Amino acid sequence: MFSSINIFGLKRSIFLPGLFIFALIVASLLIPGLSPYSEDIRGAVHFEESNLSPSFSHYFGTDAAGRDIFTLTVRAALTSLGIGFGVVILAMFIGTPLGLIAGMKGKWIDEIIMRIVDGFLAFPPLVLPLIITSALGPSINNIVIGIAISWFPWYVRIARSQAIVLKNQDYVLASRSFGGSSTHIILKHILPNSLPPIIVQASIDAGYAILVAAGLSFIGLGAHPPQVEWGLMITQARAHFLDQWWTVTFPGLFIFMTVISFNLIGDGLRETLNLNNREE
Amino acid sequence: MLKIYSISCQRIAFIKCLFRTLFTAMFVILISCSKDHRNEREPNTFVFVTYDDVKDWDPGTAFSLEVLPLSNMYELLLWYDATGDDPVFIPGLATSYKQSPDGLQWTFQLRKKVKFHDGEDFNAEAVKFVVERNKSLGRGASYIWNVVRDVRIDNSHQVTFILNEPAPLDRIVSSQYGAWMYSPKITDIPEDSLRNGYDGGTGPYRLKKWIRNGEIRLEKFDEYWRGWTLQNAFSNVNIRVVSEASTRIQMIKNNQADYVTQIPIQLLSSLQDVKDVKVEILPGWVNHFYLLNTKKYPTNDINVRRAIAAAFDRESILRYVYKDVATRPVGFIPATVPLASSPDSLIEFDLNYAKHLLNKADLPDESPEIIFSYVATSEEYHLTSLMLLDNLRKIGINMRIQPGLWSAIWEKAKYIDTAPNIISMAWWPAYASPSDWLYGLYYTQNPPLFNLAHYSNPVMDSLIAEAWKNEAFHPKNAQNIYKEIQNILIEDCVAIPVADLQIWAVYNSKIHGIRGNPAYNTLLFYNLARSG
Amino acid sequence: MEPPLITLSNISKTYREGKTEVKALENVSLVVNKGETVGIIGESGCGKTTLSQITLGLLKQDTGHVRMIDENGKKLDEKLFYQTISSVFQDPWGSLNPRMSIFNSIAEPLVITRNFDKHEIKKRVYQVIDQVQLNTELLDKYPHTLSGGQRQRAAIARALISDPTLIILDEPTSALDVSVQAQILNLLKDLQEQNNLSYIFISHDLPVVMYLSHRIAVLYRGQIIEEGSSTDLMGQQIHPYTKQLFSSAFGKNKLDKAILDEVLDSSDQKVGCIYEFRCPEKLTQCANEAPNLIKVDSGREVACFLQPQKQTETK
Repeated sequence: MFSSINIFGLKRSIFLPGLFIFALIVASLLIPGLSPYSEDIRGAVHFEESNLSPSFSHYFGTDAAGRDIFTLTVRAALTSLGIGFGVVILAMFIGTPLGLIAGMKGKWIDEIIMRIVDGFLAFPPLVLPLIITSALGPSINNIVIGIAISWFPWYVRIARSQAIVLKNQDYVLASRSFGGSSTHIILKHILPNSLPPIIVQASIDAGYAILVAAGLSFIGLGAHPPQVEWGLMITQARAHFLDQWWTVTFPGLFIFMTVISFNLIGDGLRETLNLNNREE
Repeated sequence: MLKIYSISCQRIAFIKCLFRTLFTAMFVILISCSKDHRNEREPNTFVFVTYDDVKDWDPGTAFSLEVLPLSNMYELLLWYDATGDDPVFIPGLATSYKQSPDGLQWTFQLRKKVKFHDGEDFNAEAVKFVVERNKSLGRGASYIWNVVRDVRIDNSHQVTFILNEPAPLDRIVSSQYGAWMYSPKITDIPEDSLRNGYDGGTGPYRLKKWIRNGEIRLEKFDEYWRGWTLQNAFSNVNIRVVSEASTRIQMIKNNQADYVTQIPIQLLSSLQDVKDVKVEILPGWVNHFYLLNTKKYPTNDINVRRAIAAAFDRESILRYVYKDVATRPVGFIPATVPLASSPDSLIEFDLNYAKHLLNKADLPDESPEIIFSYVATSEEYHLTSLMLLDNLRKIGINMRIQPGLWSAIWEKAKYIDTAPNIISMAWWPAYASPSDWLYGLYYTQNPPLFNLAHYSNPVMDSLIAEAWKNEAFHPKNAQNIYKEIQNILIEDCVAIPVADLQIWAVYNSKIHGIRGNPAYNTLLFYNLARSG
Repeated sequence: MEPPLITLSNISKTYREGKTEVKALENVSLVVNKGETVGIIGESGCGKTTLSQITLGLLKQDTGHVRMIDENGKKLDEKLFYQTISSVFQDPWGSLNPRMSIFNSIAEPLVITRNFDKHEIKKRVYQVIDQVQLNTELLDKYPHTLSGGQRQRAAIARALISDPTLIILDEPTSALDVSVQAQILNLLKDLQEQNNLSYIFISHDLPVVMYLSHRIAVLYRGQIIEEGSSTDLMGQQIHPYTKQLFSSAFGKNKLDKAILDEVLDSSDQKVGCIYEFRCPEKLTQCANEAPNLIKVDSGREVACFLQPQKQTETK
C-alpha cells in the first residue's frame, strides 16, 4: 500500500506539482542570499522606485513602497507553506487520535466525540477561523490555530471511519486475542493503517489552508507587515491593482499554483493508493 | 473506505465550489472593468462616493465625517468664505450682525420666512434652543459655545449673544461643526430615530433615506428659502459608502460616480488622462499628522517619542506619497489658516539621532514593541506605516501595524488599554482658528475625544485658553502664544506633523460649480449642476 | 480421566441490530481435551466464527461460560488465558498487519505480555519460524511481498510463539491453493505432535476437517446437531444434515444451498426443528417440536427425532 510508494515510482501527476512545491521551498530559503533586494524581505522601503513595471531588474515589478515583488513573492512562499503544513499537522494531531478513539471505542465515547465534531462542522467553513483569529488577535500563529481548529473535525471523521473498518480486521482481532490493549492496537495497527487516507486529505488541505490564510490576511486577520505573505501582499496592493496589474497578479498566481499543486498531489496519492488496493 | 472517499468528495466539491466562486468574482471584476453600459443614471441625481459612513445624525454633536451630508441639510447663521485672499462672512440664516464695542454682545438679525424641513419656523427661539442644547449636551464641537453666557431673544427674528469674554463670535457661528441651526422639535424625536437618520434643518437638501454603511439619499427641499433657480441643479443626491479605493476609481472612470474622495494620491496621475474625469487641486485646511500616546508604554517615555519623530522620514513621504497635493508642514496647524504660526523648528529625520535618543530612554525591553494604528482606507497612511516600520526596525523598535476603519480605531484609541502608541489623524477645523486644532487635540480631555495622544499639560491648557481670548483684539499676541504652544508640543513630542493637505477633487468633468472653500471640508450640492 | 483443557458450556449469543435479532449460537457446549483436535464443521453463517471469537475472548457470550483450567484444575486468569489459547485466522492476507514486518507480527504476542526482553523475543521468533519452516530472510519483509502459504506459516508462527496449549484454527487453509493446503495441514499435524497441542479446527471443508480432527461437531445455524469421533462419523451419520454434508463432500450430491439462503431470515421464529424445511426425512412432529441433543453412544450425540429408531436398529 502506501509504503510501496517511493520517489521513483511516483506518478507523474504527483511528480510535477511536487517538484513545484519543492522548488518553491528551496527558492524561498535561498532568495534572501540571492536577491539584490533581500532587504525588502525585512520591510525596507524605497519610495523612489515605487510602482515600477516588470523589467530585468525587477522581474515582477515593484509595489507602491518600491519593494521588489519577485523577492517578496518567492519569500512569501515560506510563510504560506508554513501555514499550510502547520494547519494540516495541527489538525491531524487533534483530529486523528479523537477519531481513532471514537471509532475504536464506539458507544457513548463515540457519541460524545462525534457530537462535538458535528458542533464544529455546523459552522460555515470560513466563519470559525474568522471568529477564532479575531478573538485571539491577528497573527500567523493564530491563523494556523484558527484554521486547524475548524478543520480537525474532518480528520476525526476520516480517522473514525478508518478505525471502524480496521478494528474488525483479522490482525486486529488476532492482536486482541493475544491480549493486546486498546492503546497497543490503536498505535500499532489502526493508526499506521489509517494514515494513507489522512495523508491524502492533508495534502489537499495544505493547499486549501494557504488559500484561507491568504483570505484572512487579506481582510487583516492574518499576517501583518513586515511579514511577507501572499494574501497580505494582495491586500496591500489592492488600491493599485487596476493601474499596476503586477502588484497583485504574481502573488495571486503563486497562490493559485500552490493550491493546484497540493490538490494534484492529493489526487495523485489517492490514485496510487487505490491502484495498490486493487492489486491486493 | 467508501465512507472516507465520500467525505473527501465533499471536500473536493467544496474546493471546487470555492474555485467557482473565485472565478465568478474575477468575472464580475472583469465585467465591472469593461466599459460600463448601464449609463441610465437619473440625470438630476448627483452621486458622491466616499469611504466611510455617518456615525451621528444629531447636528448638535456630530463631529466627524458627518460634515458632508449635514452641511447640505443644515445651515449656519453666517458662512465663512476663505476662498479669496481676505476671508469674508456671507449671510446665512442671519442677514446681518453687529458687535458691541467691548466685543461682549453680538446681535444677529435673523432671516424671515425660513422653515425647517419639519415645517417649524426658523426664529430667535430656535437659535437660543440650539445654542443651549448643544452646550448642555457637551459633546462634539459644543465647546465652541463655551464663551457664550446667554442668548437673549430681542424679538422673534433678532437675538443677542452675551459673551463671558471678548471672542470672534462671527467665526464661531460660522463653524463647520456644532453651529448648524436645527428645529427645536428634535426634543420630540426618540433616541432610536435620531440614530437611524434624522433631519431637522433648513438647508437645500433633506434626508430621504439612509442605508447604514451603504448610502445616504438626499432630495431637494422644495421650500428652500433661496429657491431653485440654477439650471440643471440636482434634485437628488446619492452619497455612497465604498471603502475600496480601487472600486471608487472604477466608479469615477465608468461614470457611475460624479465625485469620489480619498483616491490614493499616487494614482491621481493615471486619472488625469481619463475622459470625463477631472482632477482638481483645491485649497484646504486639512493636515495629516500622527499622535504619539503620552500615557502608554513605551511612548510614555519622551525619548521614545522623540526617537520615533526622528525616525520619521517626512521628506520621502511628502515627495513620493503625497506628491503635489500636500505642502511641507511648518507646524501643527496648516500654514494658511488665519493667525497660524509655526514652532521654531520641527524634529528632522535623523536615524543616528533617533538611535541615540532611544538609548537615552533606557527601556526595560531590549526591543520594545509599539502599535501603529491608521485609517485603512487611506493609502497615504498605509505607505507611511511601511516607511516608519522600516526605520524603527533599523533603530531597534518593533512596530506592529493595525489598520482599521476610522470608527473602530478611534474607539480603541480612547482607552489606554486598547490604545495604540501612534495613531494617524487628519484634522479640519470646526472654525478657522489655530485654537481649533490645539483645543480639539491637545487640551486635557477626560475621557479623550480627539486628544488621542492622551496629552495633559496644565500649562498647555491655560495657554490655549489665553490665545483664544487674544484672538479677537490682540491677534499678534495670539499668534505668539500659538508659537509658544507649538514649541511645547515639539518639546514634549506629542505629535508628528506630516503634511498640509489640499483637497484633491476627483469628479466628472460635466459637473460645474465645484469651488474650494478651505473653511468647510465638504461639498455644497446646491451650487452644482451638470452640463450637457 | 484428565479434566478437559477447555469447557464451553451452554453458550448462546444473539446479535441485535435494531429490531432484528439473529441467533448466532444457541446452547452450544463443547469440551476439548489435551492433545486433541476438535473439528467444527458447518456452512457459512452457521456460527463457527462466533464460536471461535467467544472462545478467544473477543466476543462476550450472552449466556453460558468458557472455562479453562491449568494442570491443578484451577481456573486460569486472564493473562494466562491469553497465553494458553491462541489462534490462526482464515485469511492470511488480513491476519497480518500490512504495516508490520513479519518479525514484528510474529513477535507481537510476546511484546503484548511484556514479559520478555528483546533478546529473548528474537530467540523465540527464530525458534518458531524454524518450527513452521519459514525462511529467516522473510522476517524483515512486509506481508504484501509474501505468498499465501508463507503468510499462513507466519500466522501459525505467531500463534505458536506464546507457547499455547490450545490453538483455534479458523479455516486456516480455505484461502490457500490446494497444494499449499496440504503442506499447511501437515505442518499443523506435525506441530501438534511436537508440542502436544490441542486444536479447535473450524472449517466448512469436510475432508480437511476429517483429516485433522479426532472429534467433530456439526454446527447448523448456531446449534450443534451432531457430535462424535471422526471415525464414527465417517462410518455412520445419523442426522440428515450430516448425511447431506458427507454425501456432498465425498462426491455424491451438491449441498442444497438455495434453500438455505431463501429461508434464513424466517428461521428465527420457528418452533420446530431448525432443519425441518430442508430435511428430506422429516416427520410430522418436526414442524412443531425441536429435538434435543441426546447422547446416543459413548462420545456420540445427536439432535434428531430419527435417532431413537436408529439407536434401536444398531443395538
